Amino acid sequence: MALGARVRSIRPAGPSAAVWVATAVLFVASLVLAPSTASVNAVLGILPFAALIALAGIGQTLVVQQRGLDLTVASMITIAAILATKIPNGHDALLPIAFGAVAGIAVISGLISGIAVTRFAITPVVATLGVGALLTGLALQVTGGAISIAAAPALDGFGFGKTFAIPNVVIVTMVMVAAVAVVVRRTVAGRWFVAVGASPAAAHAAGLPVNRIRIATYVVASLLYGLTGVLLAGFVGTPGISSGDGYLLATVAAVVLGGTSLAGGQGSVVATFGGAIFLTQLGAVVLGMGAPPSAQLVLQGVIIALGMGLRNVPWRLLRPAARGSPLITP
Amino acid sequence: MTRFEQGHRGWRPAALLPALVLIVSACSGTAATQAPSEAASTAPSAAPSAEASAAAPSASTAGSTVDELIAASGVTSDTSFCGSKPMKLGISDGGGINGWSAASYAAVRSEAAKCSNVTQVATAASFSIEKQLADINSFVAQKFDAIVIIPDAGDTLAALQAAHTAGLVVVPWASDPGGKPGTDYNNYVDWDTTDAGKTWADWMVKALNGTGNVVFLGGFAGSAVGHQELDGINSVFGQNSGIKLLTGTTDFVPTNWDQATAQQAMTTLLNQYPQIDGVISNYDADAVGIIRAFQAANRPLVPLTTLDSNKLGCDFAGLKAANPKFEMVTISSRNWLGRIAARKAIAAVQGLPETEPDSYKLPIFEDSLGGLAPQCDSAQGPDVFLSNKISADDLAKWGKVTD
Repeated sequence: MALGARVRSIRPAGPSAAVWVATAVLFVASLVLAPSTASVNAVLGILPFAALIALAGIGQTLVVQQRGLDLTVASMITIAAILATKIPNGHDALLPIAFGAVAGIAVISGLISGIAVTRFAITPVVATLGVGALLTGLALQVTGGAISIAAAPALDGFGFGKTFAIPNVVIVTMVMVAAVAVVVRRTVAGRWFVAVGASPAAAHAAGLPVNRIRIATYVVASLLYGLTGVLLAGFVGTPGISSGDGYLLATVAAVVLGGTSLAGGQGSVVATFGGAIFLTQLGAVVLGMGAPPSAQLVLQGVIIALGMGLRNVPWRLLRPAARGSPLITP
Repeated sequence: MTRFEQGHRGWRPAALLPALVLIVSACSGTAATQAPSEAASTAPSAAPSAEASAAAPSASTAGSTVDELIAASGVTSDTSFCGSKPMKLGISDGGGINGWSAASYAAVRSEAAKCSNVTQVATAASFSIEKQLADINSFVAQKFDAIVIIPDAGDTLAALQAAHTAGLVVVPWASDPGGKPGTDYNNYVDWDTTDAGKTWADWMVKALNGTGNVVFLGGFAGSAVGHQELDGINSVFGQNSGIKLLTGTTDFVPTNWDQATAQQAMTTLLNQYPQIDGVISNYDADAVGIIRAFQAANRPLVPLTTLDSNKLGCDFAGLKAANPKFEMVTISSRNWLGRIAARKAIAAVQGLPETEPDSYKLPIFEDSLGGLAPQCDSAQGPDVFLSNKISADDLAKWGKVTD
């Protein structure tokens, strides 16, 4: 009992603190294993990639907090990146129309997912898989199955640009992370959101508009994926039909590393940002160590598994409440 | 407390397992995404390599040498391969959703369209192996006479063998299906990847005057194409002790043929090595990402090898003005080989001789050092490949699946 109490007392910040400890350890290890990857310039070079994962990861965190999993991430990012380049076709003046189109499609996509999950009780994975397929079909339709287009100069300039030596993509992500974190933690709407995620039944009994909150979550998440796609278009310059592909697993991994529970309720978008930084820096370190690609993938997998395992295993084993059969249903 | 909450609070090793699987696959997630059809070969080339200079003039291009054929990017006015017997040609692309695929469709379809007796149907699998297998089986079921296929959605060998056994002429190209030409299918048409590596490495030695540090970013992790190119690179750099291949002689830095991944990998390499004098890339979109990584790191561009694309050609002049040391060499993106695949498939159905080689050592297409100025058609899109020598109208008309 005493041991359990002590263990609990050294992790007061909850599961989301662990990712920052892991990231700090990773950076210290970077200094030893691949010093070149831990310099200020190196980190600034890698941060935009982490920021894009984190930005989409905010949306994924919110959906996971509502006990969902959003598979539209990749296709929404792709369609947003394609519309952001295809509609302007190189003309800055048309960018607002493109952004409007992206926002419109994001809202529609989020509404369909949200309504399917709430009103029709379709499993989130199935609902968002379907909506994702629709978005992919739309992307193919828009591109005619071919030919990518370069981002308009203003979008390219912003997405690839820096402000006071900090990449704009990183600044946008930090602002969004802060904004969402404040809304979730400090506002009434945010508390409702957490309550609904923790227990929809209890929230419903308390008179909260459960379905509306859950639908709004999918819409906000979709808008964040759309923003990610637009920034990605600016960052890479000529986004293709597979631009968003890497983001589904990356966002889920960042969310899980950040300690957000897949069972819903508790979660932290700030920790998701940490998870994204951890993932990206880890990739840089194993590449920087000069490990062969095959070993890199295995090494990354093992380190992340260890990181997750260390976060989950000892604390819970040592907690007295967890002893006995954990699956007893009251 | 619900079962779910109780379980969540307790230690649940079984619940951790799927999460670990998810995370591990997230790490390899980019590797699991499909490569562009451009270079998604998954097995060492089984096709015989034809020496360009030694190959015999072909029946369908009577009077022209292989050198001339390559110089014309496979475009001929010849229709002797068409025969007269009505036939149905199935065209399948494992991808079919990018500019490279559009150029590939355009080559195969415009070539087949020369023959009024050929009915053609073109399908795209969008990198779904199930879809590509269904496309192949559907051609067989509908009694098509021939299939011209880029088998890069996954392992299609068994389906190709079945189609071949069912009596169809089967000509895979641009992505090695494994198996044996003549036994499992008729011909496998492609470029010689080892030779491409040699060509790039030779040029790099020249561009660096024999001294410097070079990195090789080789596309899809573990791909046969990247390894075959690395063999070619090693054979050249082995003779030039002044060139150091920083990324090693046994493996390459993977980019998964994705621009953003290439940009990220190059960013890490630039952080790691203060002195990089040359970059060998085997895919044009990777090269675009590599260039952006140099720009983001405020490092001057260095000599670069890759495949041709309109974007690189159009950007070259501006980049060169800002980066005096920047030079570029490209090999054709080679979609035009689809013309040869189409000619072989049609001629085989018609019972006509078709003696064009299956494998091609492709020469340099653009060389900023050597009088082959990078080419740009500002009227066309960034991922148009001018080395295919096809008009914008024909590309628009044929560069897609059948309606």
